Amino acid sequence: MLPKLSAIMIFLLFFTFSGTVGAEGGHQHGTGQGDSHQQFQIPKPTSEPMPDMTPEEHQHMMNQGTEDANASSGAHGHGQQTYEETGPNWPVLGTFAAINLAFICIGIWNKWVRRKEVV
Amino acid sequence: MKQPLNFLDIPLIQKFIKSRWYPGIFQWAAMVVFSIMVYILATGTVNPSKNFGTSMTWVLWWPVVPVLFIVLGRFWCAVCPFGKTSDIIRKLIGSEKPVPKFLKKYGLWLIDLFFIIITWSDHIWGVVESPRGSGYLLLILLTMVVGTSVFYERRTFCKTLCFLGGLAGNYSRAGMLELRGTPEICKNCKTQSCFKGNKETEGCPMFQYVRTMDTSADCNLCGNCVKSCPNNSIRISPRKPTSELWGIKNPKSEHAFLAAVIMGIVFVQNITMLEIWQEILQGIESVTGTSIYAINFTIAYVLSMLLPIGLLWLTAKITTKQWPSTTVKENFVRFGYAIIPLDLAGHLAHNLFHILTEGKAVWFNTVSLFGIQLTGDLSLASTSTVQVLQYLIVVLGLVGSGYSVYRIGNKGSFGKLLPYYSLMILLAIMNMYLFSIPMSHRV
Repeated sequence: MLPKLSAIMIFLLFFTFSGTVGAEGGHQHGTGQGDSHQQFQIPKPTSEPMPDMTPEEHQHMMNQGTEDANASSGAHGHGQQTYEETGPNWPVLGTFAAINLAFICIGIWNKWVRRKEVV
Repeated sequence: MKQPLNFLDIPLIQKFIKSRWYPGIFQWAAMVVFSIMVYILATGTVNPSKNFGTSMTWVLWWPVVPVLFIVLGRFWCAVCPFGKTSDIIRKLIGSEKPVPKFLKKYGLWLIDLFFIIITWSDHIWGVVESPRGSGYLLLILLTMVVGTSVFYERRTFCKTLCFLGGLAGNYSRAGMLELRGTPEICKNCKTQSCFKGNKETEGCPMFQYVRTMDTSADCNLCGNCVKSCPNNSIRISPRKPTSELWGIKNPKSEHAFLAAVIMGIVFVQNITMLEIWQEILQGIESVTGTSIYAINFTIAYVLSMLLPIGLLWLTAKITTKQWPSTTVKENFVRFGYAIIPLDLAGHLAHNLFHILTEGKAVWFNTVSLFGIQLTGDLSLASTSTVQVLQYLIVVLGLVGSGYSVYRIGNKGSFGKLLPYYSLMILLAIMNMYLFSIPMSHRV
């Protein structure tokens, strides 16, 4: 029973964390009101004008996007983009630690505690 | 028949592989580097071009690992920090339960699925461009390793869930190295210690029985069988690249599917890094009527993967009409393996761009760990040089795939195998076209 449960847990874990990562990454795609805790996605230029933009502003934005793209693809201008440095995301790292610790505790329980009970 | 060279006949190599230093010395070195990488990815700078973890993972390791698969088979899997973690956990607290039937039956399909999901996630959430994203990806994999190792025997994760393991298995089939038993010795063996292990050495972590093993797809070259075999039956020999693809006894649809999917993934990896990607996105936007990147990318992604799968299926359908004694599925699966050399070529050529045009980032970011700040041009070669090398690699892949078609088709006439030759040429041309367009960098 326990191995089956663990297999389900592992799958859930995979998809849950994909979701967590996605939710955090999603801030970057949103309205920009996220806390930028995770610098996940280099914002992709969009061809869609923002609702309150004039056509000229939109054209300027698109040109700017092209210039940025050229800057990063030509002459190896890597790392030219500015990044807002953020610290580690302790809740996420803590969750990873807790799940791994839980697995290890189950392992210790199985190997040492339960085996002693059987003996 | 003349026996091929056996590297284990060289006393120094045999002594080293039988010693406790192999593969531990490599495993611990990889473990130390991996730990530093994960730590820096999760806590260091969010600027990918300045992050040691990003440059080590995506500029150095990812481009180099397919080369290892060609030259040394799945040796990387023996060294892999995830595998080592699994070994430690199982030794200390593992329950060693048998692999669930579900994983045994559908493991390879799950690997295919994970590979597709991970690539999709990368594009939606920018895992490669984000040190944090890369760090979390490695931590997710680590957690899966810990979870499986606590319960299941041997390297269940590597064999049935690791997406890189699936890739490694497919690529290693085309590799230049093989580990096999000596049939004359193995047929009299009563111990089966290569599979079961002995008091000192664990049995094969990949569930292989050397006596019947006819593929390098599941051999990590961990040396356990070399250590445990009481009869010195194990041979490690060089072989012709792609030779394993020519006579696979039990071809499986999941392998052929993965081979075609990898081609699609290489396409999508290339396309999204090209300057025309924005135009393609705009084209998809005009059809879907939405600018939501996830939707438009998913459509492009699915189409990219369906293209090689569809072309392979179509070719199988055409040839089935010519060869009435065969079925479409049979031809799809048999000739699907012939795509592997082109997969490898596409993967290598794509990543060659990154390692040659961003390679110095690895050095700059490594010395920055010791407080030395270096800046400057990251490239090791000019874009035109890289392009010529990319074309050469694709041509080599085409030769490998074309020759595999010839051998899988039992050296059939040119006319008989023409549909498959045409498919391989078409895939090679598509790769070459994508490499001819300017590409953006990872860091």
